Amino acid sequence: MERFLRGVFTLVLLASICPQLIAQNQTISGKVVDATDGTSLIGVTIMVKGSGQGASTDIDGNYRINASNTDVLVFSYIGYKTVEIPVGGQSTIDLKMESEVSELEEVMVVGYGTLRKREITGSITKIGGDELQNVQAPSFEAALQGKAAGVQVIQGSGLAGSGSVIRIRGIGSISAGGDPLYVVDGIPITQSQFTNVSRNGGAMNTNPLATLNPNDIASIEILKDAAAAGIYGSRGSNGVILITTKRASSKGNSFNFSSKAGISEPVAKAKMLNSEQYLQLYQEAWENDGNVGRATLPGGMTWEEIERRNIDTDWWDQNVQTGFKQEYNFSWTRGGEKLKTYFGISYSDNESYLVGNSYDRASARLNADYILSTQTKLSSSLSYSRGNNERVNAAWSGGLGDAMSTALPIYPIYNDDGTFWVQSGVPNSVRQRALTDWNTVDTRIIGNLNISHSLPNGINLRGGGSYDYFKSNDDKWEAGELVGRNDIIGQAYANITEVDNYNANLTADYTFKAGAGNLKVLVGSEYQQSVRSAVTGKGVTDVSEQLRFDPIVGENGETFGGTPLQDEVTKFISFFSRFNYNVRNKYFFQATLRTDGSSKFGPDNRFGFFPTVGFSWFASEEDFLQSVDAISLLKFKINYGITGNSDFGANEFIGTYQRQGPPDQNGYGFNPILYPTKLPNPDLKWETTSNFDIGFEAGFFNDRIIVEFDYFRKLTSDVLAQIALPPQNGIDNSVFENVGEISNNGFEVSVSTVNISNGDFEWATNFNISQYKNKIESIGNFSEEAVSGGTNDTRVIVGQPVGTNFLVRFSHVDPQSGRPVYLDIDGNETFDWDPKDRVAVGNVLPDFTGGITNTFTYKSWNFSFLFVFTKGGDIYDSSSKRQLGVVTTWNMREDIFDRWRQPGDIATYPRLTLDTETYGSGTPWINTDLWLHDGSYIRLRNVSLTYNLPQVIDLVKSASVTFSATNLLTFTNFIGLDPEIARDFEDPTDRNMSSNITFLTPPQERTFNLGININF
Amino acid sequence: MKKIKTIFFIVTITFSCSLLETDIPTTEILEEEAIKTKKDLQDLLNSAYDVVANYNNGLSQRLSELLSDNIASGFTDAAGFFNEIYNRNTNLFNSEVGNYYKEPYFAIHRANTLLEKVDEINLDEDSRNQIIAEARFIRAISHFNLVNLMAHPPGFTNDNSHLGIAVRTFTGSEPVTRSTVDETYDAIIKDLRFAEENLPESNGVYATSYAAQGYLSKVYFMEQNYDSAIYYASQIIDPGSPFSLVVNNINARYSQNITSEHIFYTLSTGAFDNRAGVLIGSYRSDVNEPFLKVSQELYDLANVNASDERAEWFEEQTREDGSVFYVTTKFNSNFQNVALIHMVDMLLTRAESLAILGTDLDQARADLNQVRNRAGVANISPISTQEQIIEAIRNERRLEMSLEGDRIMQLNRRGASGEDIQIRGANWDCPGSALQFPATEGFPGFVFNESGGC
Repeated sequence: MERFLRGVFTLVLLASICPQLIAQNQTISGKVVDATDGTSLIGVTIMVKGSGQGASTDIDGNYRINASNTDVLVFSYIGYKTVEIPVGGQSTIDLKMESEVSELEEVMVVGYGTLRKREITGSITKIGGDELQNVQAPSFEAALQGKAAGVQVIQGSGLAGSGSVIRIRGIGSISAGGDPLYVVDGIPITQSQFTNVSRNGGAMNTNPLATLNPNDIASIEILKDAAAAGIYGSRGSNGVILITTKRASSKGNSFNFSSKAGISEPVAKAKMLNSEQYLQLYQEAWENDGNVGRATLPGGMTWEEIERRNIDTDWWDQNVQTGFKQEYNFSWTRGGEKLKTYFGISYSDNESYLVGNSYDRASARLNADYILSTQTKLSSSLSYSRGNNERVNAAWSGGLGDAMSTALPIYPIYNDDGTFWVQSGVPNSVRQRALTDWNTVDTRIIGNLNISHSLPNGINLRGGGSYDYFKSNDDKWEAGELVGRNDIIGQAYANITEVDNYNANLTADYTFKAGAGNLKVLVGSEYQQSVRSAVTGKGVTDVSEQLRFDPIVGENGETFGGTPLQDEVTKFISFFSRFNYNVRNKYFFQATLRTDGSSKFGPDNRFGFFPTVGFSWFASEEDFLQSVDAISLLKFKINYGITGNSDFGANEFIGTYQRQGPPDQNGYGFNPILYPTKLPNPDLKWETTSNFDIGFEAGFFNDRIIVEFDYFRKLTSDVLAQIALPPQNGIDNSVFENVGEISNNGFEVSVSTVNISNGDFEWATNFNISQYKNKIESIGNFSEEAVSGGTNDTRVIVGQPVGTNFLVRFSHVDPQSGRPVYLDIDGNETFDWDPKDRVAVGNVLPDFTGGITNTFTYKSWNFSFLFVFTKGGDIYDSSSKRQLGVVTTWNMREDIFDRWRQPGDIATYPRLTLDTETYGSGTPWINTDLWLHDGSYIRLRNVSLTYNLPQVIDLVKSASVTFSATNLLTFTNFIGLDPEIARDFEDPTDRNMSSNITFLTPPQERTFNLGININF
Repeated sequence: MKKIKTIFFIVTITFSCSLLETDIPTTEILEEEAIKTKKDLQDLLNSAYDVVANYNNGLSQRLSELLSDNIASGFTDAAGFFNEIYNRNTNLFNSEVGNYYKEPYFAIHRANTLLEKVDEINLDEDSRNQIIAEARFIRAISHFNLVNLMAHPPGFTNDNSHLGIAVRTFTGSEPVTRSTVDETYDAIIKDLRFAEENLPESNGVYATSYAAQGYLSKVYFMEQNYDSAIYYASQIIDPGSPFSLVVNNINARYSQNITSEHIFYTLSTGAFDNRAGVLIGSYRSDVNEPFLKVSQELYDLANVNASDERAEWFEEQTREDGSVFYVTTKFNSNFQNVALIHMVDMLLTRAESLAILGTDLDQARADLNQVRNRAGVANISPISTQEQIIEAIRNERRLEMSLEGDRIMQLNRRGASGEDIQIRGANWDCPGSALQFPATEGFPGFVFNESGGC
């Protein structure tokens, strides 16, 4: 090969030199290398300006060319800045060529290092920090919505600080986490919503990511396929989100100040019945059941009392406010000869539209880079943040949830004398709020220190350590009278969760010529240890309110009922390498190998091996396309690899027993008891996903149009499922098992165009869409009932997607009797509802998701708006079975107006009744596909208008004012509040399977913000 | 590729195994270290007794009574699960059935664990046999409890080939399908026979040979094998056994005491435990209106005979709006023991068996009279006919053992023997009269009960 190449180069050289011989000019020679790493550049074109004569570099970067003293040599090379050098009598001209900062030469963070975009063989989407900062979101990850193909973001509820659900290229998990791995400046951070022992307390998805300050983020790289995420081995299957924080890059001092203020309101209001409507309908149900006279009302209310006091409480209004938001960021970037620093502080306070609910965050960051010597560099990051979440109850836990359920309009807030109205078993959310103090304070420190050293032989060594500390302090205090105890002042609860997460890694990389190209080899090892400790406690106080603010530790350091939970320790060790082979900047090969060992895996499966290979080809650099002017870029890529998912709890594989007994605990017959609590599973291991990706990237008309396309096939095997063993096994704890297979096949397209570029005016569009088909291929020998989605009626059904709605089919309302008619399993009509007749009727996964951003720039004005869309995917409106079903102690929605009232009526909803048997069931809450709705929607997610102020004083380098709004418009056929739903999840299975199930979930917020940004 | 993989593995394993040692939770005991001594085995066995006490705290009895004619309709049941049981149309998702159903299997699992581990521990022959006998006793009575609620009774089909329950005799996680009722009863009897032979006559609060005999009597009674029922009941009733009816105290069984009529019972100590919690929680009538009220039929039965002291077990109460309901006072206590095999049961079982066979009506009358006299009720006429005796015994049984989970078993047995039994307007053998299994039991091959039709 090498000889062949030498031959080719010699020929090319001779061909270009020959005419020059006739002109009898002098010979100039030299060597061309890469300015950054000093490697020889092969095939650089050297032309004598204004003539047709040229030469190119050989395999060692050397060239010879004939030119006269007055000539100018033009050096050009793909991906590098073209350089012109006058000969001026020199006979040797060596050149260090610098990379061109074109899109293709953009540096991408790829895990344990960086690569130029050109070198990448996998699928990576890079999103700049400024793109996130322009979107008002409860947490930074929510702002990724609609920005990247194949990345589905379901924003959390309207609760301040609540988390989003992110799925990259589908979902291949049942009980292991389905979210991507988040890596901040090299450390995989504590991210799970289930980290906090309070879990979904208050019906909120707590979110450790909310502590991260979006304003610190310089860029986010989303690694989507095997070639990209494979370097993360057993943790790469769900994709990886790499977060790089801001650092100083230029010299001198610069400062930035930005601030935002805004308001929040719900995107929709639930249409609940008012007092008059409720009474009328309740009476109708009463009479339908054959009762006479006025109905006995719930909650001990009487018709007379309601009439006398004219009670008509709008509980929604009692729980909703206009929230106020404010945010301040200041940063100072300083670049010196040796030391470069970035320092930033931020404060934001985000009230949601729920009365009493807010998330405020204070954070500081110091990132520094220090050049110790030409060979040795140090870099460090340190950030501290504190998020204070003022909590309220929502959904099933109270507050706005009550307003949509058990808080009836016929209930008053206060008694005649102004005291709170109290009735056993009936909520009063105003009283609940007044007598509850609840906040969750999350503290987070992320720090790292890295040292890199270049050996004279060209090997670069890099070592580093990172520390990620997370503490969540969840404190709740409820007045004695609220918990029904008048003998105490109050009751305090605390959930304290702490995670110490360390990581150390060592890598070496070396780039050398190998054959026709350059080979860059990276080898490394990493160790990570994460220790999660937790205490939960409850204290009762009868003397003072001392416990109100610290229930675990009293004034004198005494503890109150704190129960330390078992520490959860995870250890992780890895060895990895990456090979990047670049032939003439045209052909790129990559292979990654990773071995992961984890303490989570059973003893029979301690280590796993995860290899990937990828190849990309720049067809547009080939001669046959060089002449096609319309095509400015054409790149093909293909890759395959194995990744894993090991996002499940520590110690799942061990079998355990517990002993308890007198005198302090319950035993039996005064003797201790010893019993099995969990069955062992020594074979437990990670999920394995085989990923195949093929795609292209094409640029037309000087990259005015860029199209990216990827087709992917993923097959996950050994799917981790938390199996509820059949009860006959006689052990209550479910076990983790590797069962079955799930496939995800689909494609992604993104198109960015500059539609108009006309001097002062530019219009650009970014569009992306992705589609995937998800299918459970097998669940081994387990029953479909054994793996269920939390409390929600989604199931794991072979041949169907993850999160299949498995329901009895509702047929119609019988026009004669007004009773609901169901279909039995064979499709025959029946009045009896029996869960045996459940069939797969829908699923929560969408068919298509995507986003489109249009940006208009005119002189100093910039206007952009982002639409996100979801097509397909069913929403199960779980609360409507109570709001529109058998009349119970729940308020009803106005949709109930379309109900059966007399024989002959054709109606959507059956006759009103208080008797469950009317609906053919013994229980009043009947799951059928009547509550299943199409979840498609288009949402105007973000609109922003920016004006860049003219420079008036020298001190200010630039300044801008931005007005933005989120969730302005939503187009959907869904009859509920909000078609974008991430209800509160009980566990990872629930999170994977039940995203589109709503149960009184607070809708998202609509915000309006005004911000300024000043650089000086 | 394979070579690279091998190299990777060698490197990794050499350098990192020690780093990955599992941190064992301190509050738990690793499975392989849990059972090492005789004491461990005994504690394991004790945990099985603990579960027996748990499902007999009213959980099982309440389901049974809801299916019978002892409970009044119209209880407040927002979730509707009790309603479903009462209406005999339980489905796969009835949480109350689900909460009960797993419990006997906990006991069975622990018993099976013990049976699998017992040979790993050095024990003398007697200790070994006794501990095995106790485990098999627990396994048998737990299967018996399940089969009474989850399946139709023996006699529902001629050869008892109708489905019973999953009989579990090992701990592995492979699920087993339902045995027939015939097979289920065989398994129960086999375990009880072994228990009878190997249990001591006295064993503290734990199972004795008498306890096994008491259960054998009940099991054979359900099978309509009246000779065997008489034989085993006699082992307890006849002179030589330490058990006798407590005279002059109708409440001997419903108390915090252990008396001479307790043959096998679950113990409440009042400290950390209340082994009658669900019974008390469902029926207690001296604090609030109880969740479950008794049927007027049962109330009337206690008041048929003016001298019957057991009338005090029932009360008529009136609500603010003037409506009337009936309650029991049997469980008005903070905690109490629960008698599972007791003298009254044995006497009435023997009496009815004798009466049905017609072999010794005098003994049947005598057994019945013992129970009647204790409650202040006069002897049955010495010239009473076989039919009259049987009827009297059955009424006695219904009253004496009311709300203890016995009634539906008797109605089912009688129905299976050919009597025309209607329970609240439905045939005794309507499909839904056997509770539906929980959905989670539905592995491929598991056959659910037919539902509805009652």
